[in-house]
Amino acid sequence: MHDSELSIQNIFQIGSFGITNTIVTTWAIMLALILFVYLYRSRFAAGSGKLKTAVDAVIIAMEDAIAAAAPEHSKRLLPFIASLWIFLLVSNLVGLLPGAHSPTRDLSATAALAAMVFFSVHWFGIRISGLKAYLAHYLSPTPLLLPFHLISEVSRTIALAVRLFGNMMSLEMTALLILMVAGFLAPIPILLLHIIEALVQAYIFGMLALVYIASGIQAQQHRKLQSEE
Amino acid sequence: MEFSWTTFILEIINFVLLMWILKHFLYRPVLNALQKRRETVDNTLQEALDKSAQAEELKTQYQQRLQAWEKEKNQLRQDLQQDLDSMRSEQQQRLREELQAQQEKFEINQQQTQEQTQQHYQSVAHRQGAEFAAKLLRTLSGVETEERLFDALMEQLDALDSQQIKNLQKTCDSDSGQVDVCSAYPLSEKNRQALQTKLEQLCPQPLKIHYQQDPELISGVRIHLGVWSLRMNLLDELNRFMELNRDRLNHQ
Repeated sequence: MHDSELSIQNIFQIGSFGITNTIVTTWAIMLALILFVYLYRSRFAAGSGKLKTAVDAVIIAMEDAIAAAAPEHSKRLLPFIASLWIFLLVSNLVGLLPGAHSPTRDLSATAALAAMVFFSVHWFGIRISGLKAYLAHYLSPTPLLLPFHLISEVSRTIALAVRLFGNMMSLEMTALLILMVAGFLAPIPILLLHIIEALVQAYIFGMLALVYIASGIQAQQHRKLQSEE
Repeated sequence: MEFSWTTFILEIINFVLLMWILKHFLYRPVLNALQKRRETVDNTLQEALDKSAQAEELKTQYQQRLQAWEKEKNQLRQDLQQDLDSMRSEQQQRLREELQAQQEKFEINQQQTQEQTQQHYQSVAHRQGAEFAAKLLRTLSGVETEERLFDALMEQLDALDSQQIKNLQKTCDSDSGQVDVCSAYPLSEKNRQALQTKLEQLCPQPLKIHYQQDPELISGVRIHLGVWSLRMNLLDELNRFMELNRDRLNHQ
C-alpha cells in the first residue's frame, strides 16, 4: 500500500498556502455542478423534459423533507441543506472514479462542513428568534445545564465531522486493501457498498444539520408559544 | 489524518460560493417556477371550483325550471284531458242523439216498409181473393144467378126515391133516351120487356135500348143511361169489393 494513496497531497503552492487534492477535487465538483446548472437553465428554462422533471422532483423532495422538520422555514433553510446534500453526495461518489478521491475523506473538508453547520445553527437561530431569545435557550430548562449544552454543541459538531470523514476514508481504505490483496475485480462489492454509503452519509449529514438547525429554531418558538399562553 | 487550515478555510469558502450559486441559479428559479405552477394550479382549481359552483347553481336553476315546466305540462295535460273529455262527451251525446234519430228513422222506415209490404200482400191477397172469387163465381154462376140478379135489379129500380128518379129523368133528357144494357147471358124476351117497361116508367120519353152481351160480367146486368149507371152484376160487385178494401187499406 503506497502512502500517497491515502494521504492528502499538496498539488501546488500559492504562497505559503498549500492547495491539496481535496481542494482541487472540490473545485472540480463545483465546476461540474455549475456547468450542470448552466446547461439545465439554458436547455430547460422555458420548456420541459425528463431531466428538468427529475431536477424539479429532487428539489421538491428536499423541500418537503426540510418542511417536515421546520415547516415555517423550509424556503430559508433549503439553500443550505440542499447544497449540503448535493455537494456531499457528489463528493462521496467522486471516490468511485479512478484516480480521484472524495473530498470527504479529508478531515479538513468534513470539519469545514461541520463548522458551517455549527455556525448555521446559531445564524438561523439568532435570525429567526433574536440573539437574546436564542442565547436564553442554553439556560433552559435550568442554567445548570449550560455546560452540557456547550459540550453538546462542540461534541456533535466534532461527531458530525469525524463520522463523515471516518466512513468515507474507511471505505476508500477498505477498497484499496482488498484491491491489493485479492485482485482486480474483488473490490466491486465494496464499490457498490461505497455507493450506498455515499448516499447514506450524505443524507445523514444533511439530515443531522437540518435537525440541529430546526431544534435551535423550534426551541425558541416553543418557548415563545409558552410565554404567549 | 492531517488537518490543514488552508483546506478548512478554502472548503468553507468553496461551499459558501457553491451554495450562493446554487441558490441563485438553481433553487430560486426552480422554486419560483414551482410557485408559479402551484399558483396556476390553484387558480385553475379555484376557477374549476367557481365553475363547478356556477354549474351547480345552473343545475339547480334548470332543475327548478324543469320542475316548473313539468308542473305546467301536467296542468296543460290535465286541461287538455278535460277538454278532450268534454269534447268526447259532447260528441258521444251528439252521436247518441244521431243514433237515436237514425234508429227512430229506421224504425219508422221499417214500419212503413212493413206496412207497405203488408198492404201489398193484403192487396195481392184481395186481388187473388177477387180473382179466386171471380173464377169460382164463373164456375158456379149461371142463368139462374142471372135471373136472380135481374130480379134484384128490378127491385132496386123499384126502390129508387124521388130525387134519384128526378136525376135519372134529367139524364134521359140530356142523352135523348140512349140506354145501353149489357148482360153476361142473353136476356130473355120477358126480361127485356119487363126492363123496358120499368125504364119507361122511370123516364117518360121514348128510349132507345141497345142490348149487348159481355161474359166478363160473370153474371148480372149493367145499365148505362148517359152518365147514370146501374150495376147489378158479379164483376162490378167484386170490383167494388176490391175498391172498398183498397180504400180501407189506404186509410190505415
